[in-house]
Amino acid sequence: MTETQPATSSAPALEVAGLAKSFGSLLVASDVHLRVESGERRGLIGVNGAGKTTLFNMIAGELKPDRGSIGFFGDNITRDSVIQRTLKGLGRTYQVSTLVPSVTVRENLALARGDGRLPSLWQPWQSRLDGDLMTTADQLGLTAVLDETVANLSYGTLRQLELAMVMAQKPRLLLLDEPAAGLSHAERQVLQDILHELPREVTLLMIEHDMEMVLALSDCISVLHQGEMFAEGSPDEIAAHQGVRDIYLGRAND
Amino acid sequence: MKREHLLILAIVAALVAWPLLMGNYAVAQANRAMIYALAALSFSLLAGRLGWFSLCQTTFAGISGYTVAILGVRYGLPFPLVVLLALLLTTFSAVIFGLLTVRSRKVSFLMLTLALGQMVWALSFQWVDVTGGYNGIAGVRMPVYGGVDLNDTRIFYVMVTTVTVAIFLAMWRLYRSPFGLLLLGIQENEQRMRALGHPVALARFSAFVLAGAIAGVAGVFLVYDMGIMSPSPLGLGHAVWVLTAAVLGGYRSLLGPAIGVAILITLETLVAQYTDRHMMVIGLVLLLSILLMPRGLAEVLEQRFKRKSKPQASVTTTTRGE
Repeated sequence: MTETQPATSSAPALEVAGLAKSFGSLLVASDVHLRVESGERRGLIGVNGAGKTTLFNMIAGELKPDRGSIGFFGDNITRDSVIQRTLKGLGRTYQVSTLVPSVTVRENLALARGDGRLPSLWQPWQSRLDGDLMTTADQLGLTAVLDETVANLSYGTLRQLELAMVMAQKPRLLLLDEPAAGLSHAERQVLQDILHELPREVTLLMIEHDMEMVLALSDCISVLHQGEMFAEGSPDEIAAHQGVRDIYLGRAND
Repeated sequence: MKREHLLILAIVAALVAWPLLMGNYAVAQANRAMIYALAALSFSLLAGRLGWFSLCQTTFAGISGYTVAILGVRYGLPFPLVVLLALLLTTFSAVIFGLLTVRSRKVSFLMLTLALGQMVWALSFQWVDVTGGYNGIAGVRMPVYGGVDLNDTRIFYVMVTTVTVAIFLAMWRLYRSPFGLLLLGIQENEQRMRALGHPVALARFSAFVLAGAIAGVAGVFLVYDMGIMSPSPLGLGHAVWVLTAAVLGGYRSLLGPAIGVAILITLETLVAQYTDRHMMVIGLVLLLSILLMPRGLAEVLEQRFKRKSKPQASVTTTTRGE
């Protein structure tokens, strides 16, 4: 827990305490603690099956934890619905891009930024595309494909759209579930630059297997192993951590 | 954009010309077609936007029709009040049915609407004191206002056409509104719509109630057109007929249900002139058209239309839906 960024507000962006979840007899999270300061860039790593996505699903409200609590900028959101959390400023991307495939990029963008209310039945959908949204799309390199059907997009472009959709919500905390998975080296570089440019008003919590990227972007890295927080520290500390190396090389005590 | 406006103008012009050029029988057929087009639109709003296949849209039309018959014939309430109450009661039924079905998915939704539809159908012939059982309630007539008989085929045509065109135009707006887009989004990716901050259940429920209300309008016209209300329009046969028309025309497009209804009614009329086994012929035509055009006629026409207007053929073959 060394060089964390100075907090812009006193309450942490995310405070997960004693979170536990099991599917039948399979324990996927046992007593997980995680504190992410406001404005921080936090990497979350761990081998497959360590419970990273399960943790994300619980934070985002898609999965109910058996025990424990989730604090969001000092607000206890453990019992909030997905939509309530979204409206409070929690955004997430998905591992497998899940958008609306049969319509264009532009139409997908028009669906970003739900406000919890029923959208207009009368205005044309284009009315939801304002300058702000188009700027976000432009920053994420989507200008050339705006009228393309989403089902026809390349994987890299899909991930960029995915990110644009969630950025459009102007989240205070952004959960990124393997944003670089399946991207080419060049696409990874673009993504890394985009994430690097994000303003510090957005707190980032990122699951990523690309260690180069995690080490470059994170202020602090947490290691999840077998449903528990195994280690936490600066990128240098984690890179040098013998236990973490063992886990990744498959030599940890099972 | 311009082409769409031209299309709308052409349709309206054809609808204006129809009663001027055609005989009474053809006008009466057009009345029936527009009424069923509304029912098929009600079905398609749910099927095309939400992926919800309903077997109870004709039930809403039936509830509306029975309300008109009972209040108008039995209690002799004035015509405008009868229509208003019929639409209110139908919308209220749609609210109740909507609350029961809003959380269900494809097959369970279909089964729930089937069950609800069958319950109301059974009620319609078993609750003899109110509905008149199998005999139904006869003598449902529109009033005569200042010497103008609203039951006259051509006057009735003007009313049905005006209302049908207005509803289709409103749906044209709705299909391209953020709400319409959200319904498509829910069909394809419900979880994501929720994560984007959209009220998924409320949107579904609203669409269901709206579709019910449209079917209610169809029911009002249907009962005045038939002059009698009996259980048969509430039966499964009618629900399937409407489903067939919508699928044949293309329930994903706005005009698809109207095209499907027009084709089915034309087929039935034409084939019945030549053979008693007209259902066989119609069945065969349906079989072939669904094999050849699984997405319905309207989408085949749309694709042709687009390919001609846009030369960039590589991108235009979009994959809609599953």
